[in-house]
Amino acid sequence: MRSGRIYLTEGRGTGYGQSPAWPQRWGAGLAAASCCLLMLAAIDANLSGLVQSVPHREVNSIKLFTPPPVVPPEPLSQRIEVERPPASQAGKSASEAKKTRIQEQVAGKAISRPTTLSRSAPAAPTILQPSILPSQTKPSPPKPEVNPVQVADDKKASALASYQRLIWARIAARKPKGLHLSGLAMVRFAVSRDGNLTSVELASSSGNSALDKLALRTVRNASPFPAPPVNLETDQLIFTIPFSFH
Amino acid sequence: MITMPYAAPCVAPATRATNGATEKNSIFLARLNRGFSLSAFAAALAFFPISPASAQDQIILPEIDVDSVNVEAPTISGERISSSRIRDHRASSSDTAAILQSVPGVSGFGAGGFSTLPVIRGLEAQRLTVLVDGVAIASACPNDMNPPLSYTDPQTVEAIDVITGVSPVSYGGDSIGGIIRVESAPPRFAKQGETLLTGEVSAFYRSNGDGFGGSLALTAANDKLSLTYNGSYTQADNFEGGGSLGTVRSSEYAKTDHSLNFAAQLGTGLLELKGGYHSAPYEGFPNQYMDMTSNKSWFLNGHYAGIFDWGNLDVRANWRDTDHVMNFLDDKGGTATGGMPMNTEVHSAGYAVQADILLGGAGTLRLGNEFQHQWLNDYWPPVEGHMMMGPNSFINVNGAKRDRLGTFLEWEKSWDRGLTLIAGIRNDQVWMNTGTVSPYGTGMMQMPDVMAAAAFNAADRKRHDSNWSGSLLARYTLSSHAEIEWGYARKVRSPNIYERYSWGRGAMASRMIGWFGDGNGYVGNLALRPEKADTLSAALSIHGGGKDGWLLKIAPYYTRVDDYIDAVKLADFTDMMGNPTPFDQLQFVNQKAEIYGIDLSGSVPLWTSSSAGTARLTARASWLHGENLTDGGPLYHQMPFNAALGLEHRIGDLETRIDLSYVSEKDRVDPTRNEPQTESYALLDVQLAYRIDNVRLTLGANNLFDKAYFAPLGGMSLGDLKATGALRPVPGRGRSVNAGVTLSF
Repeated sequence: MRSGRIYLTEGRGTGYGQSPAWPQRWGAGLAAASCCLLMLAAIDANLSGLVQSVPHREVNSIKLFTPPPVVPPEPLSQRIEVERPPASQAGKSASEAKKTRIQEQVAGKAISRPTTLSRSAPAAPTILQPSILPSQTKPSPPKPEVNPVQVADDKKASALASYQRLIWARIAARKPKGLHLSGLAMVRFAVSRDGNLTSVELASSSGNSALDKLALRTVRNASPFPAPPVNLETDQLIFTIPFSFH
Repeated sequence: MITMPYAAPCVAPATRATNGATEKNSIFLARLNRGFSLSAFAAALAFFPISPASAQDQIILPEIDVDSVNVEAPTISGERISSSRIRDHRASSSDTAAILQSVPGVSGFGAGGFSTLPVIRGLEAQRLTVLVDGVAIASACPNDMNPPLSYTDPQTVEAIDVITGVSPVSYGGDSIGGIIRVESAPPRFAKQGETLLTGEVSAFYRSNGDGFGGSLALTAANDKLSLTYNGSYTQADNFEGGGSLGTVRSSEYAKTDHSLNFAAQLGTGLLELKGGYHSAPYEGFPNQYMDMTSNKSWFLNGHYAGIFDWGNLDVRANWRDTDHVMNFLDDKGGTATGGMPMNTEVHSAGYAVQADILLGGAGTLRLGNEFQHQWLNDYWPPVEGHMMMGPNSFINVNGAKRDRLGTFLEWEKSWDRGLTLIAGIRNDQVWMNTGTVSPYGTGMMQMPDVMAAAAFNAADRKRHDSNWSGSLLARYTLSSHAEIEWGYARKVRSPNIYERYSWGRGAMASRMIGWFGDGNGYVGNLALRPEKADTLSAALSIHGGGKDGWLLKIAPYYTRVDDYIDAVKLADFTDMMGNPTPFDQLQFVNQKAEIYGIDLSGSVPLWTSSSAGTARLTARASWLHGENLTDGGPLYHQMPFNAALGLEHRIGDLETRIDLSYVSEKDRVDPTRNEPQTESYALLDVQLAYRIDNVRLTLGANNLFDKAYFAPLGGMSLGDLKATGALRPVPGRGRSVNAGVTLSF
């Protein structure tokens, strides 16, 4: 009888690590938790403020090679790094790039569908050039000086390219973990003038609803995006992004 | 990897046709090879023509590559042991915990052939979170002979995550140390309209101790349902120590594991139901007074992983029953005269629910709740005609229960600038209770136990702990070559059933308690408080040259544990004649402890050429200092400085590995436990692996030079003591030539 009591008193009060009574412990715990949350909220607010300034800078600049904020998958960057086109090529107009791309599709693909392409000709896709993809292995070289006599079109193209890269990086940074399933889901989404996501839909299904959902929600979760460059005269930008699950 | 069934056939011709295209084309096609397909665009455009309202340029972004196979550990302080690395060890070890020791900061105390107890940064098994397929496995033995990892077999394990530093609270509660997560292969499904029938058979032989074993994995699946069987068997005789150290008695073992995993693709996610059976007919423990003479365990786990617009929902339910029997194998006297039967039964069941809620720009919020119930009965039947062990059963633990309700809230956010923050708080409510106990009998020789039982039965045995934990982890990308991680955690762990409820004070009864392999006897303590650890850990990772480039990791840490459960001496053990023995009777008590140290690891590519293959050098080193701040002495079972150097070479289908490991002298030993000092040693292992089509052959040797050594955490060789009367630490394993074959189909 007595020894049992002794055990108990030892456990509750004496000795080095005195454990406080019940209400105190809960109180302390709750206080610590709220302090933690407050602190985190403060950090969050601060950092978000810092980050928001970044897109604005990007919009005004015509630099194509700003180092990326987010690290893309490794093998991709290696290739790009080696084959980055010279600075002069960077200013290539969007329409030119588009044309090349279509030709590639027709000529390069044995089973291409010319009818399909011509039908959708007015909305022919502008494929983001790999050259504007962020590079990981080496910080990008200093941006080339822009010739002051360059036309507005060039500015527009490079601003758009820069914006595309930003959008891609934002989505890539939020990419989910795979589900050990294979499939390619294409998500089409529209971004309004103020950077809001105005629509998001499945352009083609992966064949698995969970993967489709994962792709859709990744884009949704990356929004709102930074506002697109002001010199683009469109009301909204439409992007299509493929998610390759494996 | 085929990404789209109808696009796949188009990719290859497209690639060939444009081989001679411009530089820019080849860049683009390089991307194509990674799974991005032109026909996917075509298909997308064909099926979803752009409406005239938005008749404008549609911009196609590069693909996002979502890989399911993780190669990276979730934190910088830690490693993910991939399936290929585990495969390299299959032929050489049946002990999953032994494989973990290739991670810097991880060591292990020797126990049975497949029951090594892992130690991470100086904190041992009971203080770690060990999850097998997401489920904790409750200990079911006074000597911890059947720890969670003993239910896994390297032959069927897919990958293991080890977190040595601070871990997020969502990874588990009721532990103060690192995390070990063992994963079996995820369910495989066929492509739409197809059926998948696949599998793997493997077998191995080890010359030292004539160990052999085999495994079989079979999967049958369509695109919605998948059924997988996994089975393995392994056995070995007593092994030989290195040099002239001779046979190590009581080191034989045999076990078999079987599981059936049923998985179904639902509209919202994945449902899995996995059941299994484990049986170990015998496992010798060279550093315990007892051997395991039977361990049978049945389990059933349910798992649902749902994908929703708002985030993920993960639900698990688990049930496991274990019947564990200890007695003497032949080296310790056998059971012809009854031996000393000790039976333990455990029922455990629980659930865990976790929701990951996506908050858009504000990050991810994780909410979780889990409940784990453990019921344990431990009784030692009487031995006929034995004065000490009769006339009644010794009731060691009478229907003890340990219930834990854990709840956590965690927030994770990544900023575009390269900062990721994970912060969380957690509460674990632990309720414990146990019934009254009784000794074998009330004879003169049994008096210490009679008195102890009376005191124990009179005491209030109900315990309730409310344990608050919290962790804060920050990771920052300094540049494309460097990342830094910093973490602080306060984690709390309640004592286990044996630490609180072991009560026997007789010499024999207390010697049956303890998982330390030191020959001492342990007495529980009802007054134990939960252990509270404050840990600071940092890790710097510097790397370059991409996936096959160089890497250097530096990870220092500091842990201070309040109410660290250590032991103090109660009495000397004497032999029959009243002469002193090298062992003591100890009791668990709360003390204070601190551990600090540093782990280093790195690798560098040596050469790559078509004629000489590729070669890579890897290295790791760990140092730590553990001190009991209450008595000022060293903590028990702290690994001395150790380092390893590895050379990997691959040419064609031939892979070669040469590993040199070094462990320095252990001169800081815990006097309370009579811990032995051990000499420094270096071991050389080599392995060749060759692949022909779907057959993989391995041939290797561990401890090639048959070096005689004593592992610093190997414990005292009690099996040998009983047979020879001479006490020594457990010798390390001598040379073993291992051969293995794996066939995939």
